[in-house]
Parts: sequence; structure tokens; C-alpha cells
Amino acid sequence: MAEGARCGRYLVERVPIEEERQSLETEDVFTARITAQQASRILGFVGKALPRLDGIEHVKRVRREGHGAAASLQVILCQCRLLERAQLDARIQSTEWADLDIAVSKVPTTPAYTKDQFDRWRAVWPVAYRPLAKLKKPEFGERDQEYIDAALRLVQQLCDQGGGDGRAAGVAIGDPQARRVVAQAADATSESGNPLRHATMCCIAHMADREAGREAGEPGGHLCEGLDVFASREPCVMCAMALVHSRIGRLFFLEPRDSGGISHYSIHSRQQLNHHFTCFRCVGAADG
Amino acid sequence: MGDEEEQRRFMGEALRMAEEAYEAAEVPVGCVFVRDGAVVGRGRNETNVAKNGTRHAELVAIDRMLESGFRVEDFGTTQLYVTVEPCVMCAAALRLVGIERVVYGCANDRFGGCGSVLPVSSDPVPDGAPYPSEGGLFRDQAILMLRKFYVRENAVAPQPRKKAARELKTQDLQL
Repeated sequence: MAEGARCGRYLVERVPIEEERQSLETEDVFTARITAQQASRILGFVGKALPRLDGIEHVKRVRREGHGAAASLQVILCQCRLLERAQLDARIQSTEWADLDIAVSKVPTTPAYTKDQFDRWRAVWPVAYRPLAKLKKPEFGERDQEYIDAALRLVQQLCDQGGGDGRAAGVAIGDPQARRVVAQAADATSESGNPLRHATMCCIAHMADREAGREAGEPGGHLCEGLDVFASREPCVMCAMALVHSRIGRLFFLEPRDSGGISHYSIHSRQQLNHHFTCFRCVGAADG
Repeated sequence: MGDEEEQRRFMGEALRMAEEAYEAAEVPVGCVFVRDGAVVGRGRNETNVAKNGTRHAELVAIDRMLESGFRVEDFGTTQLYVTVEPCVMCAAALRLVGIERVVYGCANDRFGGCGSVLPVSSDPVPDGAPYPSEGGLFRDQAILMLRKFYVRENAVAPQPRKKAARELKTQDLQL
């Protein structure tokens, strides 16, 4: 987490999404060592005779090895999972490429979304650097900063009021257009005797009750679509997935937890899930 | 844990709850909680009527059970029969109450928390305790119910889609 923005007494940093946290995975490709003069002709042959690259379009087709007169090129022929070696040999047998020096090399399976990934990936094979356009450094205007600062202060207060058994947590839901908090709740597991009454679940229920009671024509929305959620600590797995089901837009949380739904599973950005939200970890300033 | 005939009886009851959800224009998922060979809780999806995306069958049942005096510690000797694999949220909730075991009908490829999308039920890290889960009982009946629901138009969705052209496929199911 490098990108931070100051909101009043809090430093707000975007939590990386699943893709940015991806570690290096590789798959095998058939490669051939060629001279620079052969490059364009062999690429023409590969394009016509062999399966296209599937899902590894971020990988550069050609790798240069060595320098000057000793330089040679290594070119990707095709992915091992799309063609067996015997089939590959059969396809080049009766062509001018029958004597190619073919080897198996490893290439990164996923694109490099961060500078760190880019450096690790290209040590394996040259790749394109593809920072995700949707992941710009957060910029909060003055009114946004005041709204976020006030909402985080509120959830901290809710948490402090919650009984001090170490489980208490406060959550607020805010409307980013109006820049104001529209619902709030504290953890109610102790008072209700129900271990599922986490603050997040209670706050979502408050929003739903209000929505259910809304007269036709009054402003309202579908679930919590596009709304902000502020939490005194990172939501657990249940609560993080509840936020996906509720279609929220952004989550701001204070205290992180290793077992939480964001830290442990990146639930805000899992590619298999049908909804994603932006997630910010917030740290109170030292003098806060 | 009960013999196979008993398991089929409980899943049959869960399917009846799913049918009830279908009749009420809710995503047809139903469940029963079983302790000492008797049904001690029932639930079915209520997300549309509650305007709350978290009112899944399992959470509805757990809330009602606790409100009517069921003790949290007794979940440790209670089994859940649910027509569809619990989603990530419900799978985590079942850890928090300490369920003994989960039996489900069909897998949930979009949200499943017992291995289909995330292994919440067996993972050592999240809060609560891991539990065994097993799928496949009346799988095709559970799938049929979901398909019947999804060929129908969901008027509550933000952009309801016209589905007049959709057909209910059943050839691949053994019913």
C-alpha cells in the first residue's frame, strides 16, 4: 500500500485488489532459438500454422539473449497446453523450420499490474507492464475529506461505546453524493445473544428496514448499491461477503485483521464474484 | 449422523422450503437445521421482501432459532440441510455459530463458500470453527428449482430482463 491520501486526521490508503496481490505463476511454452534475420519470417509461419496465444497476451513474443554479434533471439512458438510436442514436430517437419532448436520455457500466466510484479515477472520472461487504469491514486476533494473524517470518527465512537469486550465494532453507511452518513450500528452480539449480529450486518438491516418502509416516489435505492461503508475494524468474512451481496461502492476500515474478509480473501475484488468494491484502509494520525 | 433415508427426508423438507421461496418470488433456496433426528429450525430466502441481500435461508433460520430460545452452544450438535451450497457469507456465519456439519444439494458456482468459490468451511484462518460439508443430495431437484426461477423475470432486479424467449432445460437432470 503506497498510495495514501489525507482525510482530516486519517491517512486513507487503497487496499490492493486480488490481481495486484497475485504471486508469480508460470506456464510452459515451446520456444525456438533463431537469428534476428529469421524473426519476421518465423512469426509469419507461427501465426498461420500454430495455435494463437490464449490468455497470455501480456507476454512478449520474442526474448533477446546476449549482446552484439553473439546476440540471439528466442521466440515463443505456442503454449504447451495447446499443442503436444509430437504435433508441433509434425507441423514443422515439412517446412523450412524443420531443423529449429526447440526448447520449453516458462512465462508468467497473469499480467503484471504493479511495478513490483513487473520486475519479478520480467526476470522470468519479458512482459508488458499493465497498471490497471481503474486503480488511480485516490483523490479526495475538501468536502470528501471532511465527510470521510467525520464518518471514521463516528465509527470509532460507536466502537468505544460498545462495551469494551474487545469484540465491539462500529459501522456506518454513507451516501457519497450527499456526503453524509445515513445509517449506523454497533456490534450487538452480546446484547442479542446472536453471534451473527455484527455491526455490519446490523447496519445493512437498518438500511433495508428503511427501504422496506419507503413510500412510492420517495428517494431510495436498490440494496446499498453504490453507498460507502465505514467500519472501525476490518469486516470478517461473513460481513465482507454481505457487503458484496449489498452492492456497496466503497469500504473504509480502520483496524485490519489477518482473518478478515479483505486481508485473507480479497473479497472486495475476487474475480469470480459478481460485484466488486473499492477498499481503503485508514490510519489515524499520530496526534489524532 | 442418521441413515441415508433420514438424510433424504431432511433434504426433502429443505426442498419444500425452497418451493415456498419460489412461490413467494424469492430465489428458491431452502434449509432445515436438524438436532437429535428432529428439525429444530427452517428458513428460506427472503432477500426480495426484506430488501436485504443478506437474508439468505441459513441466516433467516438461525435468527429465528435464536429468537425462539435455541441455545448457540447447541449448534455444535446440529446439522444443516440446505438445497444449495452455502454462499461465502453463510459459510462464514455457520462457522460463527459452530455448526456440526452441512449437507447441501447442488454446488453454488457463483458464491459457494464450501469450496466452489472459496473454501470457507474448511479454511483454518477465518473466525469460528471449520466444519465438514458434503454436496449432491437431491442435487438435480435443487438445480431445477433455480432454473425455473431464473427463466422467470425478476421484477425486483434494477434492470429486469425480458426472458420470454428462455426455455426451461431439464434433459441433463435426473428427476
